[in-house]
Amino acid sequence: MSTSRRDFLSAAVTLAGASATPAANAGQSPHTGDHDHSDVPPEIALRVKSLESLLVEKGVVDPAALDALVDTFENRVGPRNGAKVVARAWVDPAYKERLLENGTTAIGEFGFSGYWQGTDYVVVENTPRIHNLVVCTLCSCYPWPLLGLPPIWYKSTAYRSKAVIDPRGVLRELGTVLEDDVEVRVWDSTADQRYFVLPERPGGTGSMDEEALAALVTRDSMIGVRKIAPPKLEAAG
Amino acid sequence: MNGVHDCGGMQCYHPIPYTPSERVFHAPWEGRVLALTLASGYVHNAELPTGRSDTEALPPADYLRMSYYEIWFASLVKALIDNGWVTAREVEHGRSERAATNGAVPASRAEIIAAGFKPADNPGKETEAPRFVVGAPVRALNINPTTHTRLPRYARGKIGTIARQYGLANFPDTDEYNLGANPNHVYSVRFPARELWGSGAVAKDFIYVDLWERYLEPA
Repeated sequence: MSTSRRDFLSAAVTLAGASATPAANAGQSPHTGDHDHSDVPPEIALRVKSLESLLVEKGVVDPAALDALVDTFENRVGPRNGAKVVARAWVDPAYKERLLENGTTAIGEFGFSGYWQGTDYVVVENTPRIHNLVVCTLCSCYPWPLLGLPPIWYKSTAYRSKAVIDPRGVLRELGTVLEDDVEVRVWDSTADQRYFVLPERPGGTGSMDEEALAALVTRDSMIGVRKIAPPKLEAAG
Repeated sequence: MNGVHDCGGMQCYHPIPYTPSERVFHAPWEGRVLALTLASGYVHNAELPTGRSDTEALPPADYLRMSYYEIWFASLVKALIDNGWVTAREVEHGRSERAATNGAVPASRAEIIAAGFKPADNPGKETEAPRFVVGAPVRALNINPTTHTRLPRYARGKIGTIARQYGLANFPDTDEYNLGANPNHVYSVRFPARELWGSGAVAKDFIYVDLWERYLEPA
């Protein structure tokens, strides 16, 4: 990298307020953004607001479009989308076959696709013999339309670095212990494919319909870090 | 670039900051950064080149200290300044000092949502056959470019087998810099953990890495 490029980048970082940010290691902390409980907006919030005003004034962005984007990520995409796909695959063998054969078209049947992280889906199935786990070691690739934006821990260097060298350690750390004879497959999302785990259907769910099954499916099970617990028996005993 | 972002296999970052659930945005500014970045990428009559290379060129201490959306913000500001959409002075003062000169017309709310959340167009017909068949042994090249690449360090020089063929995709090492799309076949390559990490690794662990054909040679 040329010196001037480095200088320019440092300037951009300074402008972005990073150098003045006291939240050490914020990217690694689950509490990012939560540490400031005062009424005064933090420096970064002011800088972002200022850039937004500038880009609106320049005619680059429409504030209504920004509102719609935020609303979409907060309310319209998220793990509930992925859960619907999983539940369908559990109750409909033909759908499951299509899903594993071509994830992009099968997920497209639900409309959970898109230019942003949703053009090429690959679905991998967890079984009693094979456990799949998804990571992006180089950045934070994640199937946005299916699962929403990735959680902080998924984007953390801790998860990204360890998942490929010690996947069983990662799983243990997150509460999943596998038998030694289970094959572990880690999928590093280094290209355009976005991986999605079809988790095992838990026992005791034979009588549940698709909607009830979807309610059992967790975000973590579709990343492959945790299994789905069997439903608690209601009115037991 | 052998940067701090290429962290697969490092062992110094425990523990994983796991939480069972969290807010989508931890503060409103995070959502605005994401929205500004995406919207700046969908402007009529103007294209803002953004890519991973700016993030990867961040000084390592900054990369590790900054939160996720602080990194996005820094990258967005840099792209806007580098491409002449705004000046550093304007960013500092938050006021436009001249009209936009790039002919940009903002995309509407409907256009942006439609563009981002509808299935992409079919990438087109394959024009060349893949070089490797499923099951073929391949070695990832040992390359160390100082520029953007999607071949992670931990796979370089290692032998795996072709697990899946994914068809053509633009070659990131040149596409990132507008030096040519060079569409190239992408494969999922299955590496035994023991090939990557030695005999101490678990024999039943496998790492699948998505690699462009240009990163591979027959093994």
